[in-house]
Amino acid sequence: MIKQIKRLFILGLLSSLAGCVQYSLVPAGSAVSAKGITVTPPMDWNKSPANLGKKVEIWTRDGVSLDQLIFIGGISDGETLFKSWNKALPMPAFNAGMLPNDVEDLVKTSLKNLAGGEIQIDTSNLKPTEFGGTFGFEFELDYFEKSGLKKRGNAFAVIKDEQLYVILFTAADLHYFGEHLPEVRKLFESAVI
Amino acid sequence: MHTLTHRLLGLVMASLVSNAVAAATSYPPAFDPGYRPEASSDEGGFWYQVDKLERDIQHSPFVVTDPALNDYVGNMVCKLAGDYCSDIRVYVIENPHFNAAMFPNGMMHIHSGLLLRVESESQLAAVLGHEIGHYLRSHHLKQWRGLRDGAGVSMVFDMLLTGGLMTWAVMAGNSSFGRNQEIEADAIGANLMHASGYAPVEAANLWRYVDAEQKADSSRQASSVFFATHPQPKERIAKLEAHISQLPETGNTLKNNGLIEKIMPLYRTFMANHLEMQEYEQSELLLAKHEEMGYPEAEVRFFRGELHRLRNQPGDQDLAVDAYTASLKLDNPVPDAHKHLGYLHLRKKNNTEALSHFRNYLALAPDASDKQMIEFYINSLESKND
Amino acid sequence: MDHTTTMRSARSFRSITKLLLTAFAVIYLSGCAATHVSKIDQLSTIDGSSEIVLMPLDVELSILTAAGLTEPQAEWTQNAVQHIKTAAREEFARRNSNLLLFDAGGLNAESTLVQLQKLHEAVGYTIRLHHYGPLKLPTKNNQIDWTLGDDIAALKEHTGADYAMFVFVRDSYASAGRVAVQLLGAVAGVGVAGGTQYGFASLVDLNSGEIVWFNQLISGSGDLRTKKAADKTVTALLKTLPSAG
Repeated sequence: MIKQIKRLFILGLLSSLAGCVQYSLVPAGSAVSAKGITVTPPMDWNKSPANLGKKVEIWTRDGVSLDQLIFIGGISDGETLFKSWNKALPMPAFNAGMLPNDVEDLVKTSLKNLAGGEIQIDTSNLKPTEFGGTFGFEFELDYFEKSGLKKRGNAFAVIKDEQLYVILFTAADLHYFGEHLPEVRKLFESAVI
Repeated sequence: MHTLTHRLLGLVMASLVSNAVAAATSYPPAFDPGYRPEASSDEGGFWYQVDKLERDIQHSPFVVTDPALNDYVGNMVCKLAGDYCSDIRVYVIENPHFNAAMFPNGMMHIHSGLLLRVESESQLAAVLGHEIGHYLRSHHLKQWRGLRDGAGVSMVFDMLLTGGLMTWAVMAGNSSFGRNQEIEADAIGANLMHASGYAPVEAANLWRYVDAEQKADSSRQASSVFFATHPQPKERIAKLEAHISQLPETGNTLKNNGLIEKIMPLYRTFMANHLEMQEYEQSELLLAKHEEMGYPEAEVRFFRGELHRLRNQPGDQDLAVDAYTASLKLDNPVPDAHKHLGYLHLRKKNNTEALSHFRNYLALAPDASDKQMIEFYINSLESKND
Repeated sequence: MDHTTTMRSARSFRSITKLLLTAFAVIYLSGCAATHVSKIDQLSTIDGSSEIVLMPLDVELSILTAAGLTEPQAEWTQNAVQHIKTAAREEFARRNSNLLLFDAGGLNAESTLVQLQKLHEAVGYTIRLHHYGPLKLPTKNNQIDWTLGDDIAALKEHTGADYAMFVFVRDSYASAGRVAVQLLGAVAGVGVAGGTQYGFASLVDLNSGEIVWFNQLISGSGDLRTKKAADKTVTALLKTLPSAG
């Protein structure tokens, strides 16, 4: 954890001094590809310069502490959703034979380890949903950040050509989740893989 | 040659032991019950920070609030701590790691991962007694002062980044000072157990298990914070046993006394967290221990199934099917076993079995939150059967 | 068992905030800077005055030791909290406003009142990172455009106030040993900081949930240990706070 914070901090400091790493605008209304998932966002978003993995892209509306829209695309057999940063907290790997219950656990544990392994995430309401014209599924997430802030989330997932695609929205339970979920749903409905 | 060496070692050990006992009897508490430092002192500043942390903990979602479990642990602390009972406040923290913590202001943390690993009330008493030992001897304050006065300039950057105390924690671990404190706390813990009717030998047994668990998981040893800050179990067990052998025999064998019953309402949550660590060799050992201890077998078998399903290495799917199936034949089965069996059979294209398990799952858990998903599979399997 | 590892993890509860303030302290160490943003010209009022609830103060005063460790000072901190409350009461009074105190007793982690404070912590962090800090959000157009949402009604009901004010201060002072190191550093041509003060205050409209006013203060000097000096700091921090009526 210390190392992680230190690394993030130094990275942030250096990049901000260099002035090269910035959030960029994702304008509303035009189709954009995020890691192989093409969506047409109904409102403007900010794309984060953070790098959580080669196949991960993060957008935020009000700041990453308040809401995050995470795109994970084209995860193949044996690959992890996020890159591992701590040997003691390995990221679980995707397996092409996985069914919805397994993907639910995969997303849950990946997100937990991303937060240093010290939060408990509950998932619920797993159900089928159409994702980019094919059979996919969605589920909800509930957890407390280490700070004690309550978060909620919605995950949309599909396995296509043995590769996993996920759109994961998490936000503060108060205000931010409910405020942005309808927009996120519209964005999800526009998704094409 | 070997014998001679052993004899010599034996002599050295014997003299160490008598020293230890002499020292044990001279471990007076560093303060009286009800103590509070002056706000203007450095200790007052230390307490201030820890008091603040305790207020955060009181609002923390990671504190287990189950009243029966809290009463159980709280009563044990009182039994062990005697006059200091009302100075110590215990918080059970949901965290799968094997750990407990004591703070200078009397706040004590017990991790859920520790509760899962102790096999008797005496073993839990060993941990509580050890923590009370740290507390009574003001070990934190000594470490903190030692670090403050001896800290090198290389720490400055760390401090700036982490806000001070975290660095203290990491540095403390590397000093033999910290290890000697652990040994001292072990001895005090054994004395308190002895005085309260517990079997001190269980302290050594707990360390033996921790040692085995550590060996079962060689990959993580190097990175384990715990063993960087603690004596190696072998050294620890030897010192403890030497110390215990000097305590007068009482025939104490206090065993479970409701430990399992108190943990059971939270068992599924605690075990699910343990499995999420993905330290599957550890989980295997733990489940074997639970089976031996008499945790409800249907639950233990279910989590064996979970272990294999989540590990998902070659052969694990079959082992998961076996474990879930076995758990369903026992009293009070876990409905989720049917669900996961449904999915596992679906993967194997055993459609008839899949369909029957999905139906059984919804029959046992008609309000399951994933009902729509399961109904989808039931419908598609039924249409295949037609 | 360990009495250190858990301390470490527990400390990380607030590590982000600390990290951030340290970042600011490092970046702005030289001199004093106060920057504010206000979305309102005056505080709303029904009968000429406005009620402002002062949320639990997040204040810590420390000694900066020779080795560079900060050692929290309970007595200084307790005094500082009293000084800030008194000074804030006076500053509010000058703006036709009354200070109310927040009663935090007996709340659990899930309660809306606790969650509102946690949310404000995250929003405050976000404003410092994305508004004042280097990582601007293009959609915000440099505007302070954050809210705690409709659930703020719970805080209005609990306190009866029109606004809530959140104050955060970290302050460190050089110990005698540190001063010696500073002098040595000066001789050797190395800059060694003598202590820093970082604080921010934020005002939330309890009718809308919006952050309507925000100010931060970063200083290489400043003092909260004595009433007089604390008055000066609070006056600077609240200088741009609008009046009622």
